[in-house]
Amino acid sequence: MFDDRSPIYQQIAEKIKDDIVRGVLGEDEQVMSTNQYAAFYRINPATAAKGFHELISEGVLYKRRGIGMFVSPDARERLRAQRRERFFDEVVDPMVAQARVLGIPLEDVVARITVIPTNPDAGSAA
Amino acid sequence: MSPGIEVRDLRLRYGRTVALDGLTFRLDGGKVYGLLGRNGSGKTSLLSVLAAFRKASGGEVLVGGQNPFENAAVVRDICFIRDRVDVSDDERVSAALAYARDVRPNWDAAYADKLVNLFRLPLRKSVSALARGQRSALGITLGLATRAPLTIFDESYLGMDAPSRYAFYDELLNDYLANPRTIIVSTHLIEEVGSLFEEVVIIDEGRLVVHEQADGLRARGASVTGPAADVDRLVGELRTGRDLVVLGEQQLGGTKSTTVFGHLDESARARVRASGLELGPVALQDLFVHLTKKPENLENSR
Amino acid sequence: MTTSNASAAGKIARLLGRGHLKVLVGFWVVVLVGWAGTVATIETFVGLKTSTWWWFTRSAPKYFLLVLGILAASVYLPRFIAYGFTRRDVRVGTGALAGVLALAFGALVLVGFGIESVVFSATGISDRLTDPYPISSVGDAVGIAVRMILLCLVYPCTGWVLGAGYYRLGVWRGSLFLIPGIAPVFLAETALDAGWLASRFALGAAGAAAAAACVAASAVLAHFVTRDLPIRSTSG
Repeated sequence: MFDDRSPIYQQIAEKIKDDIVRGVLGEDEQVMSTNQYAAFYRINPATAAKGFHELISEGVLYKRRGIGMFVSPDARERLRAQRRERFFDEVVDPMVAQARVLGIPLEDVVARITVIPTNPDAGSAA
Repeated sequence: MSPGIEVRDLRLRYGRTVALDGLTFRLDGGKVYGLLGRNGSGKTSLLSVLAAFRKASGGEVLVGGQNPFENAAVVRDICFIRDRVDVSDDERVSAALAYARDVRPNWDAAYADKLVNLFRLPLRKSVSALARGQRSALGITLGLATRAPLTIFDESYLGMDAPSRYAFYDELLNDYLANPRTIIVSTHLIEEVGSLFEEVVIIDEGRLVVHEQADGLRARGASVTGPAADVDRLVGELRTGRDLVVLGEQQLGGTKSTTVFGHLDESARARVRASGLELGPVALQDLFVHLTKKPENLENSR
Repeated sequence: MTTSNASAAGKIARLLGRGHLKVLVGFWVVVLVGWAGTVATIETFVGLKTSTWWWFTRSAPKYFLLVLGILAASVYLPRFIAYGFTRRDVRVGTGALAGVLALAFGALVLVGFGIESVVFSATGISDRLTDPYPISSVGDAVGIAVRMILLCLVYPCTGWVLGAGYYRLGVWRGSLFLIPGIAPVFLAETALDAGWLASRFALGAAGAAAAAACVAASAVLAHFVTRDLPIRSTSG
């Protein structure tokens, strides 16, 4: 479930962010409590709490006392904007570097990209 | 009711053998703690002293602020489950459980029944006729259903198959969430249980090696991999001005992987990546192996 | 949430007593059956001319309690510790149980003599006795009861000391420990026997006092050998 690439609490935070961006968790939707999360993934609740704490301090989640934790209304948009910025650094540039290493001409890469059919479900909010 | 534990310069000797050699640490209580150590490191000796099974030869031990030895109010709240379960061999399983029910103030009979079903314990069988894994499951049932404020499991999973072990970890976590208390788990199967630990205590040769939050400990380990000369140069650079210990080195052909232990801030990590080297995590188990490998590490790993 | 030590010790006494009830009753049933069988057999074939109850009760009960004492220290004590009791509570609880059993055994021996004398009168055996019936006065009864009680205290206490000694020291040094361990029993028996006067069971006050001192001595030994007894690792 969790690997050793980064601290577990960070992986938890990333997972929840992924769910929000993909639309699995909607705005103002309640997320699992830290105890439920801990029991479900078999991790220590303090670790789960740390991950949730990060998300709260980043404004991705908010807390309603006595009720639980909820997804912030603007979380999805903000996360998508953040990830859009990172997309070119983290996805496109490494892809280009890899293509060069393999000796694939960039025109072929571009040709392939234009041929890929646009997926109507890709959540394109134009 | 989650007693803290404080140990100061604790010593324990059996005849000429020194089992604990000036151990000092403090646990706040109310958490799941992992106690790691090699065979003969003093783990069981430490737990025996905490549970008042043995008297310390020197130093101080406090459970819930009091010395546990021969202290009726304190030992009532301690449940120490060892690898070979302390029950009467001639009794039936049902009798062993009934005994606990008579004697343990927080015993939860309904929960015990649930665990008996979960582990498929044969109630009418004599304890001596149980298979190794079933005996361990009985110990775990006793340990969990006793709901002692300080509960200690010392390699209590011996002989249990993987599904039963994972059932144990699930039950342990769920019951801890529902009934918070201080739980210490001593284990060799670090990667199986590691995610349950909030804090980790590592001892070796009767002395403390590390006591830290589990996440923090994991974050302090890193492996740097790449061309040997580059790795050596970069590790050397990182070590200047930083409290970094080299735990181990491995080389295959021209590629070298060096495991370091110490805090690496963002700038250090960026440097590594910028040099084209691979920065990887180190699993808790691997950290444990490295930290208990050489005696020099005892002084360097703070 | 604090229970006083007295109730913890009481709990231990009750648990051990309940757990051994069957064995204790069984013991006395065997003694009774053995006695009855012996009386019937001898009377049938030869004609009984002496009391036989004492044959069955002069040794067996005290050795039975000796064995229970050894078990209590070497098996039950570690188990009680594992279940959250202190060594002191276990000592006090088992000591209290030992006291109760000693009194009970003393009473049962007297009851047995009573049954035997009734049976003897009913069957006419009492007219044929070569010696006077062992218990002919209150003094005799008191003497034998006190003798029984003191021995039924010193034997289990010594058993505890031996059991704890073996548990703590292992087979070799535990066997050496037998010598000081058994001393109170040996001395108590000597003191009680030396108290013989005219009647078989008359008890010199000095003898009884010396035996009581032996009981105290073995209790003190038990205290010291248990006080900080380390509970061993059970794996191997």
